[in-house]
Formats: sequence, C-alpha cells, structure tokens
Amino acid sequence: MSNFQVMAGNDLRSGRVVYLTADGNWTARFLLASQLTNDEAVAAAEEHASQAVASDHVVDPYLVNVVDDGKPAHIRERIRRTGPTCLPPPTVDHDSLAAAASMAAG
Amino acid sequence: MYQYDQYDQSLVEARSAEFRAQVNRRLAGTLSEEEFKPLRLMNGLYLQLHAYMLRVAVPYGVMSSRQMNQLAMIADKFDRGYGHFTTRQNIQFNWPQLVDTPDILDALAEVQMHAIQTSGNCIRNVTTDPFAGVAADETVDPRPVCELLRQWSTFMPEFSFLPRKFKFALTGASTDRAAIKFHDIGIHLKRGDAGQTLADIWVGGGQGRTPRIAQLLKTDVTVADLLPYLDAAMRVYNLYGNRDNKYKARIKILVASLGLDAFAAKVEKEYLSADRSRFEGVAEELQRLEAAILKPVYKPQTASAELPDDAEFQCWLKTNVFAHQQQGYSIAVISLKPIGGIPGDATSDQMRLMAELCDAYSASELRVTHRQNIVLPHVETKNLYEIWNQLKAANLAEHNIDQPSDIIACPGLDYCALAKARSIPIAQEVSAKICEREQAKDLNGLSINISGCINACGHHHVASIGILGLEKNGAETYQVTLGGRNGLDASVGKVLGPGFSAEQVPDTVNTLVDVWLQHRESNESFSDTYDRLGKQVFSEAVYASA
Repeated sequence: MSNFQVMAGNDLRSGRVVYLTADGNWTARFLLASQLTNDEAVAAAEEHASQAVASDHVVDPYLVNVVDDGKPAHIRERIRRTGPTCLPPPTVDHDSLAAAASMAAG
Repeated sequence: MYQYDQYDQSLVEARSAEFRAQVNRRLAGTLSEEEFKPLRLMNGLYLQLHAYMLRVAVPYGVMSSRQMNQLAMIADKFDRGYGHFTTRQNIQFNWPQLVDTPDILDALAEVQMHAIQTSGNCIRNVTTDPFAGVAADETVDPRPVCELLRQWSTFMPEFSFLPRKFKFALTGASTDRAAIKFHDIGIHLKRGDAGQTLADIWVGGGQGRTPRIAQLLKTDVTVADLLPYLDAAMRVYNLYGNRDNKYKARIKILVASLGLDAFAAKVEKEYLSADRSRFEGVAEELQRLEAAILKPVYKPQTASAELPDDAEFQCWLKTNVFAHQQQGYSIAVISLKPIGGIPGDATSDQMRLMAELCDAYSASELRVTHRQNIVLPHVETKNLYEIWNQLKAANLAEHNIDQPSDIIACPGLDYCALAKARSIPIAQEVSAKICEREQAKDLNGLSINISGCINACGHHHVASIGILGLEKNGAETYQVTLGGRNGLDASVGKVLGPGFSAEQVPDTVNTLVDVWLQHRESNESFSDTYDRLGKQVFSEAVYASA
C-alpha cells in the first residue's frame, strides 16, 4: 500500500516529467511534489491537473503511489523520477533543462 | 546513393512546414492533445517516459556523411549530444522539446531526411541488407527496389490507415542480414536463368507477442509484376485485417487465421483484377533508380594490401571486416556496442568522426544495420589500419560484430513508455561478463538479444539466448528463450522456464554458455546444439545453480 500519492504529468512544451506542487504549480523536482494523503487532496490535485490539461500546460497527468521510503512504489515511476539508469556522458546541462521545463510548465 | 529530386525535396519541406503550423496551434491551445497526438506521431514524435522522442527515418539504412553530420548537429543543438540507432535502421533522439521539433524537421529536410511514417499504422521504413550493393555474396542489389517501395508507400493514402503498422525487409544475397522472415513482407531478390531479376515474396513474419516465421507466398515474381503484386497483398490485408483488436491486427495473424493458401488466393484474385494502368511508368522509374543509385568509382587495385600484424587490429579485421564485391575493397563495420556500453548509442563526436571517416575512406556513404551498428561500405583494404586507429581513439573499435557482446537491446524501461523492464543495463552487464570469454575462446554462433517488453523491439525471439523483460508484482523479471535464429534458417526461441531477477541474468547467461561449450560439437552454433540436445540439459544446469 502506498503512503501517499503525487500527481505527475509531462510539460507540454518540453515533454519533461513534472509534478504538481502544493501551491498548484508544476515542478521537475519530485521532492517538491505535493503529498496527497487523503481523498480531498487527491480530488483537488485531479482538478488542478484537469485545468493544466485544459490550459495546455501539462499532458497525460496521473497519480503516482509513493511508499515508505518516499520513493514511487513502481519501478517505472522511480525511473521516471530519477531519469535513465544508464545515462551516457552528459554534454548538456540537465539541470538547466529541467529548470526550463519547470518554468515553462509553471 | 539515391539523391532527392525536386519532388522529393518539396514534399519533405512542405511536410515540415505543415508540422510547424500544427505545433504552433497546439502551443496556442487551438489543438487539444487528443487532436495533436496523431499528427505528431505521423511525424515520428512520441511522448516517452521522460520526454519527447523523435524517430528519424534512414531509408533502408543508407546515409551520407552530410546527413550524419547533420544528425550530430541536431544531437548537440536540440538534444543531449547523442542519438540511438535502432533495429529499424533508424535513429532516435531521446530528449527533443516540442517547441524545437519544427526546427529539427527543417534541419533534416535540408539534408534530404525526415521523420515521416516512423510511427502509425502505415508502411514503415523499408529495411534491407546493410551490405546491399557491396556484399560478396549478393546477386541483386536491393536498393533500387527499396527506393521504389519508399516512393510508392510514402503518403500513399490507401495504406495510411492500415489495421496495424507494416514492415518490409529485402535482401539480394545468399546470407540474410535483413531478417526477412521476421517481417510482414520479406522480399528475396535473385537472378533468373536469363539473368533477369526475380523476387520471392515471404509473408506473415514478425516478432512481438505472437512471433511467426514468414511463409513463402509467391516465387519468381518479375520486376514488372512486383509492385502490382505487393499492392494486391496490401489491399487484401487492408480489407481483411483485424481492426478490432490491435494484438491481432498484424498480417501474420491474418495469414495464420485464413491459412496461407486462402490468403494467397485472395491476393492472386486482387492482383489479376487490379487496374494495371496504376502502375504505368514503374518499370521506367525502376530503371531510373538503378541508374541514380550509383556505385562509387572503385580504384583498380594492383597488389593485395599489406596490413600490420598488430594483434588487436587483427582481431578487429577478423570480426568487423567483411568481403566486398570489388577486389581490394572491404566492408568495415563500426561496432556501437562498447563492452559495458549502451547498444546503439553514438555521441555527436562519434557521429562526426564516422562522417569524417566515410568522407575520407568510404565514398561519403554509411549504412545503419538492424543490429544497431554502422557500416563503411566502400573501404580500400589498404586503409583499414588507419580507419581502425581513428576508431580506436573514439572508443569505436570494439571487435565484436556478430559476437555475443554484439547485443541488440531496445531502449527498455530507461526510456520507453511501453516497456515493462530495463534492457540497457542488462545488456551492459551481460556484455561485460561475456567479453572475456569471447576474447579467450571462439564463441561464433552465439547471439544474445534483449527486449524490455513483449513487443520484442530487441529481437529476443531470434537470438540464441533471448532475454525478455517482464513485470511481476511491480518488479522486473526476465524470461529467457533459447534457440532463435534470424537468417534464412529462421527459428523462434523457446522459453527456458521461470524468470530471473535482473541480478541473476548475467550468471544465467554464463551458465547457458558453459553448457553449450561443454556439449558443442565442432563449430556448432548455440541454437544447433540446443536443437540437438533439447531444453532439459540447459534448464537443469540453470535452475540447479539458481
């Protein structure tokens, strides 16, 4: 069973994975995602996600289960959170890209 | 290689402009995601696990140095400095942003490239022998027919919404390096008694969740009849293929359900009743293509090349260099499978080096193989040592073509939204573990392929040892198949038994190799040994040690 859920999606412009924050923005940083611990919080997050889809900021939002260690329950979501487990040598500043994605989504 | 005419060029430029307008409308909110998704997919743009992914077509795997340089530029400017060569002889970029994709398509159009029909239920990129036109064992160069099929199938309205995607592969050689028996339609070109080109048509092959070996649909089809006959086969598939269940929609299922004879009868009827005026001019176009796809002017070689006795170079010669039709020339294959590396990936610097090398030594032409490597097809043998030295400096001189560490691996769960388990890290571990053995001992006849889900993009069904990633209770598990082959003696691997954890896979592979070497007779391939001995001896060894 999960401890809580977070709302994940993809930023429309960049395609990068983004998470819904407590103040209704979207961030590339999983640790800043709003922790949805009850039905009311989930319903509110779903409403935010619908609005983000309608306003063409975010695509394909869905809820992700998170377990005791604060990481997603499913391996797919753990990889989505951290990126490929087999990264080649970076030649581009990933942090800048993630920040750009977050700003675009926000 | 084929050069676009004005019609080809205007077509890709118009498509790029059209997509730019569609992206703008999407960003402006006048197109919803539901409306936009099929449009972006028609332009090869997927939304994957972490980001968009753009799949760029490399028609029948043939590429110029100029095109390779442009791919390097795209990798640097719009992606993360690398690209991934695929089993469709294409290249994928894993990190493009939607806002940049119109510029990327423009950059591709500048060098006669595009991403058209790299997705969707249409005829996908036609693939062929990466040694086409130069292989010593070739009787017919398949590239003119490949180009004819590309032109016929591009934006063909009737075949733009097929029941499912459709893949052609061709060869004109006695060795099948294009896996024609695992394609929807495979074409084997050959010479008739009078020297004329004839085609054997194989139908209903494929991998995925229901692997099937293609069956021989018709033999000795003349060049004049080839396109009308293929058109008839496509029409039958389009009409009778299953559109209700995508898992039963490929032509292999239709052929299996109707039976080959009934399917062939429908094709024959369609073929005989077709309006042949639709194909007027095809013979002339094929003649034009045969002239347009020029071979380079080979220099006469007066003496056999003296090559250095460097042991490492000699290993590379043995595995990565193949016989050429032209005396004094060789086919050199650049491995994109560094030991412990990511199969099929090349950095932009590596792409530029490969382009430089092919400008200097291979008539400015390269090929992409379905095994995710790169070919220099026109190399003077005397230049091989210089090429090898330059490759070595760029970590591109792995001497492992067709060796066990030449692993085909799909992107798997590290990138793919459909995957159930990771492929690349498994490939890295297995190649690191097997490489010492393959350097110490002859392991010819052993192939290892890995797929991250049942869709089998990593061709696990046709490997001697196939590894299929699955999910069980939220964790990765790996099923092993044994005895696959992808040549003209094609066979589908059989499941060994219960699955393994990711950590168990390398040792499991090692144990299977132990069993093979213990029982191998002469130069027997792994799959031949497996066929002779059966599953039990392998399963007992593996599960006893698990």
